[in-house]
Amino acid sequence: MLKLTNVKKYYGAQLILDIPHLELSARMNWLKGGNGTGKSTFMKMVAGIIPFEGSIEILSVDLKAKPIEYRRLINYVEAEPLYPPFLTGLDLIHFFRTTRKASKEEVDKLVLELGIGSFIGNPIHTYSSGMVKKLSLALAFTGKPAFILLDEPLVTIDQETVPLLYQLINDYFNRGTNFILTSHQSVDLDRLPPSKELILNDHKICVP
Amino acid sequence: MRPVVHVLHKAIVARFYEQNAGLFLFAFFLMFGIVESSQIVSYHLSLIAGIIESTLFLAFVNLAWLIYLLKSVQFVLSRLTLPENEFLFSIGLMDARSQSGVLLFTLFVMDLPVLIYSLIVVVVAVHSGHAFVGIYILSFHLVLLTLSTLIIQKKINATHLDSYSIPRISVRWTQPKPFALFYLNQLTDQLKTVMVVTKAFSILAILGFLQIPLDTYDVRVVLMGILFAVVAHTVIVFEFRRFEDRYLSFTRNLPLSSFQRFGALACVYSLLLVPETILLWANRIPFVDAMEATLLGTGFIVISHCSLYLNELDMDRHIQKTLWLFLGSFMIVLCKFYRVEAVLLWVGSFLIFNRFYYTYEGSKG
Repeated sequence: MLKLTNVKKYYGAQLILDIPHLELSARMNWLKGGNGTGKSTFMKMVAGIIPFEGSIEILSVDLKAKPIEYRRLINYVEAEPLYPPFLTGLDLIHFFRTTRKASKEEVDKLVLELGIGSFIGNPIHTYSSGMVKKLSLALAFTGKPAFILLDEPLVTIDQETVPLLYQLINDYFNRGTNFILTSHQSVDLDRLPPSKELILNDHKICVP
Repeated sequence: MRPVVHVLHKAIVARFYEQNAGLFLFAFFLMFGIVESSQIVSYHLSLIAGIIESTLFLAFVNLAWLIYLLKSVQFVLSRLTLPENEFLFSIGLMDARSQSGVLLFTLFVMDLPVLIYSLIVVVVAVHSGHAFVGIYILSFHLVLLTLSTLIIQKKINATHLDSYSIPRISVRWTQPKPFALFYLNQLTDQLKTVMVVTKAFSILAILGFLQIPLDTYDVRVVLMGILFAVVAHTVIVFEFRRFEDRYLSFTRNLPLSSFQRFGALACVYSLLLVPETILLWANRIPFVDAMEATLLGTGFIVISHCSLYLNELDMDRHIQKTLWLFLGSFMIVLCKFYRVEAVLLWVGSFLIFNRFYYTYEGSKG
């Protein structure tokens, strides 16, 4: 599934992550760790956004050897996504639909399910932080990724949207999509597929 | 009043100079960096003589000053709306005269670069017997600063009223935007002043070179004009890279090849230089020469963008690198090796892009 070998990540001279070997066998993974332990760095690294030492593979596709094929397999949404304020949500949805080769029906369904249809035609600077988050979640589920990485997916979204998000995760999980999630918010684990914990501490990830 | 001025200075004026440091550096270079040090005084005296003696030139300079002041006013208004600056609305508790005083002083400090140069123009005008031009310039600044102060004062005192704004004429773009337009949209949305100043200088540079009287037509004159024009885009290139870093990091996760990404970048800058290309054709430059000039210009500007993947973003370093590249290119054009240079610029751009796009990680690294 997802395999990391001899992965190290530094910011300047400071070591952030040191993962000699990690294979994720579970399909639903909870990445846990205190503030500043490197959860978001781990997510960005696995998403292929920031450089690192070592190798990362999904379904035997190596990020460094086959970057396009690898990125096709993974979608990522940041904890606090930032998009150009003058673009509309539709601009971004169309952009992701094109690059991730998603069908119009699929995207329309996501827009409907997350209830963002009423505002995605407006420029992003008119959105509240919750609306931006909902848009980012729609983008995260666009395409047919093998993995979806959700960094703090519950932050800023309203209570009405939380069950919708759970439903989306369940639907995609049943279709074969794998997940890595982080969250400092309390999560109703009974409404999600069974998950495995990954604990980030002292630059390392351990699986209890 | 001093504590109020102090806070306004820290919350607004200092931020203004910080955010526009790149623009100031570039303007400083244009004013003092392109002339030999021994000729700076005579260069500026000729420039000032032009302002004093030509109504058209004076109008053009006035327009530039007006744009700068509008940018300052717009900056103050936008800072006032930030949540962390809401406390500044308590200026409305002061009496009207004190409010005007502190706001006028704030704008005065923000307008200082323009005011200092204007003062020199006024002194030269009076000494050369054109006192009326001096009086006109002083009145121009006084009226504009007063009006600007009133606009900001009104904003502070009318928080309880619906704000009236001039209806924005905007063309509703109903189709989803192509990726290349994300950058250009940033220019038209957030960098209007930079765009107007850059394009004005760029077009004047090309027109200026095309006016050079020659016995026979020489393509190098066109190429030099284009080089000056693309150097004028130094700030825009930097802002585009900053925009990428800040708002487009999400695109790094998308399954696109280096060719596709580089192609998009080439499209961005080809579109950016469309006015310059049209200008060349409008001036009846032979088709092949115009194409070569465009290829050289876009190659220059694209490699300038790609070089910003090599290190953390730093406007100082960017300006220095661009100027060295400009000097080198200028010499190459003089030696007539411009075709080789155009190819090298494009190939070099792609190689840098391909090697460093994904290894760049900004200020955290």
